[in-house]
Amino acid sequence: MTRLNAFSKTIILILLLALIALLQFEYDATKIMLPASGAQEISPFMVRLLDVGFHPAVASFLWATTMPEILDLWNKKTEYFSDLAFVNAVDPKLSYPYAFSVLTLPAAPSADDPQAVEQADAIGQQGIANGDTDWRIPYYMATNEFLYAKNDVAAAEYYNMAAETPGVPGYAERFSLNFGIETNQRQKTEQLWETIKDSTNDPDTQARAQAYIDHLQDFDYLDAASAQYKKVFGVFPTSTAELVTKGIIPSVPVDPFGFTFIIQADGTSAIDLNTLPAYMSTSTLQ
Amino acid sequence: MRNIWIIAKNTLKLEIRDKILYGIIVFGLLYVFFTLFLADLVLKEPSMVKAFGLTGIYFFNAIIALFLGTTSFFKDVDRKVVYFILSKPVSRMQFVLGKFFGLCMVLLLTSAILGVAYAGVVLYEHAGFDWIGLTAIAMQFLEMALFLAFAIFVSTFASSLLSIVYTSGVFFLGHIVSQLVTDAKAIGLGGIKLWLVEILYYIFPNLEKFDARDFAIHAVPAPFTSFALAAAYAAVYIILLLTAAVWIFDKKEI
Amino acid sequence: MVDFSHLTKAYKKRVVVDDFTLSVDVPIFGFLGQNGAGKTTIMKMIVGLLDPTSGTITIDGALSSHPIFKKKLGYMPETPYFYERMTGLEFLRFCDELFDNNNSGANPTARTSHYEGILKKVGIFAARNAEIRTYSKGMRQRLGFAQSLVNDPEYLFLDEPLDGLDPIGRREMKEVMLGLKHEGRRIFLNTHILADVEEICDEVGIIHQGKILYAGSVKAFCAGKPLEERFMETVQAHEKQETQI
Repeated sequence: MTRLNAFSKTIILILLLALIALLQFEYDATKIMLPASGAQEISPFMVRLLDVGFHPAVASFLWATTMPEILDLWNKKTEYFSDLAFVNAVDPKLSYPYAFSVLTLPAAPSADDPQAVEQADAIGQQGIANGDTDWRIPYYMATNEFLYAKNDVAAAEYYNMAAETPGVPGYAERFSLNFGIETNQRQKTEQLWETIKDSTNDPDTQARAQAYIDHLQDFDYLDAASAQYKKVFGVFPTSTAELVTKGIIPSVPVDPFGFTFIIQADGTSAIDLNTLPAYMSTSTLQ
Repeated sequence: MRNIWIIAKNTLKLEIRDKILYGIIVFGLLYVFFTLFLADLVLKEPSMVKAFGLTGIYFFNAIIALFLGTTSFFKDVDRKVVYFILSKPVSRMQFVLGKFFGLCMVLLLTSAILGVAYAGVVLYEHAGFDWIGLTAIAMQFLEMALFLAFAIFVSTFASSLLSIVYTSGVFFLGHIVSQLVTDAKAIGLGGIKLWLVEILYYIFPNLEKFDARDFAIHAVPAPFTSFALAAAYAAVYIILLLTAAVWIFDKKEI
Repeated sequence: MVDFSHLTKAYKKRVVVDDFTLSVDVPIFGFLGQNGAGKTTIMKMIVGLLDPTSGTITIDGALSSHPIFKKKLGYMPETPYFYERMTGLEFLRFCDELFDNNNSGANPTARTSHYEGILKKVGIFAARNAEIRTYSKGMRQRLGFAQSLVNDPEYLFLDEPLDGLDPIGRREMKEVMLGLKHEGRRIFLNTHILADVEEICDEVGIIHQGKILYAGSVKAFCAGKPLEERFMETVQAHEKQETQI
């Protein structure tokens, strides 16, 4: 065989590559004619067996491929649920998939589907039972109960659960504890906690419910004091301290949750949003 | 035992010069930076970023340990480099221990390199400085040391290829041993068979206890006593394996 | 004085060294024999790489393979294999450190000159900082020889030291060995090259199938005939004896 120069050799290599590409193309054409292969090749059990303890990483990776399906929930709902179940089976403790599902299912395009909230709820329950402590699960469940199911009792209970979860960031804890304190909601919220308190024998739950009731009544108390002040002095007080110094109330009530009270421009009481009680986490991440 | 230190130091020096090791470390670092991309896929969820990162470090260290453990000792003996060493006032035990500690030092180095990269990625993704993650990496190192000891033990009587097979097998089995016992009970295995499975469970290297990744990722409070026991387990098992290795090597005709 | 006393090495199916008894007290002693005669096995037993099945080897009354005595030995294996990524100098330093003579701590520069001196002696000083994987066969032989000198040994055991060297190399190494003899060291060498034995050995041991057929002065053995002829005679006579038994 005669010696080939570098140019000829390159041409031959390129031609061979082209032939390879052509063969690949032809092969793909034949595959289209065959029926699609069956569903899951491996079960979660096998994955757990083979991944030498890499459960969180494998589950996380599977989750990464599952998450986008929520964008097309109209068409991919069953797929999404089965993939989510797979992820949960590989690593039941990974809390993010549960939390994400609870948050987005009701808000996703098939939200007209009344089952969405119940399905989210079911996933949330699973997450609370099996997953790591993650404040987001009860928090998002509470939001769902409030916004979609209009079930304030359940919402209050879940917000409370979120507030009590270790690692809950300050802003979320504050929001949870102050669910339903607006003047027009307060009565209802108080009744809500009274119901919860009466429906249980557990002293801890009763004490907790009482804390909420006291918290709400503090607002009522300060509102009344502020109105009284207006009557006497013609203007609303600028701070709760003034109520004391001017003799309207003996002392500022101590909030069971440690919040600081302020008097707003319209004379109603509120909590100071510029500070957080010392025991709360100031981090903005989980 | 000065000779052990001399051989260990020399092993470290030589393995660092090995291009294959460089290749694996480069891949390892590439992977750690790849987790930045994976992080975006999961919307930067911290538990998942840590999962990807710690698992990657573990995986690459395991490959390095497998590669070093099954070849370093074996090559020295097979290629008769040991003739120079054992003809001097160096005992076979000192040689085995020197190789073991030298390879441990290499793994310490790779763990440190990948660990720093990991801490950097986690910090960059604003997931805080991950102390428990570093504990996980330390536990992984203990597992790798045990792994190395096993590989050296097998090298005293098997060729490189066979060592790789045995050591990989132990690695896989070591992570599912508990599951196997549960399964045996679930399928109703009883009597002597179950007894045998349980005996196997107690003496076969059970590597699951070194998995502090779960604690790091799932932020479950870390049980110090468990880690201490795991360290003790590793120490004793390593002593067992190296003792057996020395005994076998002592009898070996070279 | 090196004493081999009923030295035997037997593997499952064959006896490689057979009731070997010998006393040697000369500067340069050569083990001469065909390939597979047992010369390497004997040398490995001297330096403790192999354990004898029975019998002992003592040097000045002490077991040769004892760690204390090993400090006084130098050994060069047949076809030396090295850590390819070390340099010649690094390798010598590594070998020296294993002797635990507290030398390397003392004065590193002095020690380095010592190694360089050895490398000059064997003729590979120029390659001292090159990685061993770049060394030729001849250079490796020389390095193998060099490392045997690193601890200033009283006794040297060299297995086929001139193997793979070109004629000039062989001349140079023989000069080195004669130089070592004049320094008062004792050398044992394995070889299957008759000419080398004639040139530098004071005494020779003819080894065949693990047995010693003759041990003594080369001249006395030759008795006027060429060494090759005498060697063939001795071996054939022995084999005849064996078949008759």
